Amino acid sequence: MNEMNFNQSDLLKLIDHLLDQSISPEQHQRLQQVLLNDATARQEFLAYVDLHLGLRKLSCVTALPAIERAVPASTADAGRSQTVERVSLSRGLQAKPQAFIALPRYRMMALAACLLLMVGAGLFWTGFADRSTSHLPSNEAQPHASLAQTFRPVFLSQSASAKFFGELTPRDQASLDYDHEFVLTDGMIELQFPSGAEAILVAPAVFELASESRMLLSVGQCSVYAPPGAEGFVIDTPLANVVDLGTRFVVDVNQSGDAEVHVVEGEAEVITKRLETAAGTSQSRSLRLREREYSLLGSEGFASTRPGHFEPLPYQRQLPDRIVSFNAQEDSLGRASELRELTIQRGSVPVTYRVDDLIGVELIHYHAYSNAIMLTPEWPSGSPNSGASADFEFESTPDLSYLELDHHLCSGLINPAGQSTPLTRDPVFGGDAGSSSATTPGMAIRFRQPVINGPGPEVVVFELQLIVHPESGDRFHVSPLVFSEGLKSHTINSYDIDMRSPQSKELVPFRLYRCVQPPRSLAELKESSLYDGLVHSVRAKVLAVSIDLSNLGYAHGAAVNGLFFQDAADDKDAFDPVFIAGLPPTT
Amino acid sequence: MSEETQTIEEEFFNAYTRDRDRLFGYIFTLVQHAADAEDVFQRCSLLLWRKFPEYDRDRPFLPWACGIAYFEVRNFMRSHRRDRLQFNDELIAQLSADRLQATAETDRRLEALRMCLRELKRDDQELIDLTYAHDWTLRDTAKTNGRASQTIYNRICLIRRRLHSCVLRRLAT
Repeated sequence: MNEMNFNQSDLLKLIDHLLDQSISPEQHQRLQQVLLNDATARQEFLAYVDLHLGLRKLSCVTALPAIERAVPASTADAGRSQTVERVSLSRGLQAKPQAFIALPRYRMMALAACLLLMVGAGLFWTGFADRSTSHLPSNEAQPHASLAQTFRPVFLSQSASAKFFGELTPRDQASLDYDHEFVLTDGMIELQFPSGAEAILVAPAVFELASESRMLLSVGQCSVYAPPGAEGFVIDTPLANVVDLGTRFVVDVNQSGDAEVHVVEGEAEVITKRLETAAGTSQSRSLRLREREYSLLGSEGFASTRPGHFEPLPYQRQLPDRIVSFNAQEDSLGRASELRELTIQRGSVPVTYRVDDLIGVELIHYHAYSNAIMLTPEWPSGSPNSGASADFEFESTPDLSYLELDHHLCSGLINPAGQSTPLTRDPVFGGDAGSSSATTPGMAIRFRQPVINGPGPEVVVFELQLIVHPESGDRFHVSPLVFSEGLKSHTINSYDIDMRSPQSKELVPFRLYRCVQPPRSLAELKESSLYDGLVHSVRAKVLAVSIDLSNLGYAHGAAVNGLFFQDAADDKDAFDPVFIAGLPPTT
Repeated sequence: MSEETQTIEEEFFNAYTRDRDRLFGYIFTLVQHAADAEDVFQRCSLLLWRKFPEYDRDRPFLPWACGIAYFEVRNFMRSHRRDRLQFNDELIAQLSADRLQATAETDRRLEALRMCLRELKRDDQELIDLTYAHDWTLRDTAKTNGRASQTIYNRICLIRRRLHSCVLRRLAT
């Protein structure tokens, strides 16, 4: 190695600048060269970094051991103002304990707390994550007095297809960190503030929780509801603050910071910020908006406040109808096998159904893409051609019950063929004894009793997706079995629960069976000989989507007997349905 | 919850609690920025929990955890290449190796530092306390103190040097 002479004092200076984030690019380059070329310099670097970390650790002596300690009684009550008694570094000398908030850096400890809670060993830890989410109000150093305030948790009450940049989507009812910039790239989320205020954010949105009643919104659309008692809730946009005076309003901030505010009910006050512009410092102005009044906010101030000048922004009263969650039987590793129940929002109302309450299906057509056609749970050991196990008689022909009757989420008849353009005319399928020539690619099911079109979704489809395949799931078309006036195909482009959703579940192992030729009709399917049956080597997760029959043009109250499904043929991966069912009529 | 799952959880809890400070130290060594290190640490901790069933119990936990952290650091650096000054890959790999070799040193250094802090003058203790307890930059500390930022910066750097020398001296004896 090319040892390089270095001056220890210079080296420590460079490291000081590095650790204090004040290092220049030239200094950084110089430090890199020294460290690359000199092992002694690297040892010095590690020792100095340890000193820095040691000072961090010793200056929050109660925060670290808190993991091993019981939570003080005062923090056990959820939703109360919570403080951490922090022992000063110099306490041993001064005996001067201080009440301090936990600072943002203790997010690390919050994470530790979450993990400990996850592993069931953190029962004594409830509340620490909340303490750790306290927010330092601005980038500027604050005097001690203002730091003494602490904040109760803000919860992500629910989400719909939500994705965050650079982090996992929190589970429903998770508390969110203060002083952390969240970038919502897809979907919608609903936040519940301690004051009772609710906010629904629509992607793309960038936001940050600043306090119990203040949210910074850099970009995006946010619908706010402040019930009585939650007045004073503030949306802080780059150019103005919008203060809720007991109301429903929606604010939309664009990428240049301009905002549009629309009051739906009640009142809101808009207060522009003092801005440094080329023309000088603008004065802060305020404006009270009443029901159905709008305001456009730009760097020049208010543009208009009266109704009729703009199209009203869409106010989100709630998240869209969707499969909210599902429960399945799980093995000892938490992997899902049989569906037990699902909760679905239908016509704005969440309803939970046991799987036995759902309307089953019967396969009436199957035209496949490939010869990989059937999935079964792992338990049918043995394969058709290698001899069955002693206690299991494997049929060498496909068992339609894996799609029709069983509730396993890792079994079904997969890879129905498809086409990029959805159907516009009746599909052709031969049925049991029909001809296999020129049948429509895809699969058809008949509901065991008609499904009645009502408010929200009426059909649910679960898909198995290997973890190496697109996390958004396979797109597919769904069409009427018989087209008539007003009916049309509908394409499912995204799933209510996809691979990245916190509600998605990993599946128990499963077997994949093949046949010699891809079947082109139900008759061919039933005559196929199966082989292989190996346990699939790649793990899979289950995705779920709900279908509103109104999207296919069915009228309210229409009885639907069946549906046709086709892969959207947009990539090499085909749609793998493992459970399809209709929902009972809403009462 | 099954008994087997509970055992895995307990194992993870014990290993994670024992080594989390060292793991954070490893990550911080590579990214040198507290907030970034916390972000990587968070992601890494969740990954460790998920991958824990794959962990070979016959091997020590920390090197396994650092192996996962190393790739998380690399991912993080790749996605922040434009907005951070970063060491190059060669140096990151070298620092990673050096840090893994020196994990035993960390505990000794911390104990020595604890002793050295007691030797500081009260004003110096308070200044260090103010800076580190708040996770402030030296500039923030200076502003709060109402003193010139360069004065405070120089003072804190001087205290750190003294502590550094004190720690080295104690470890040498």
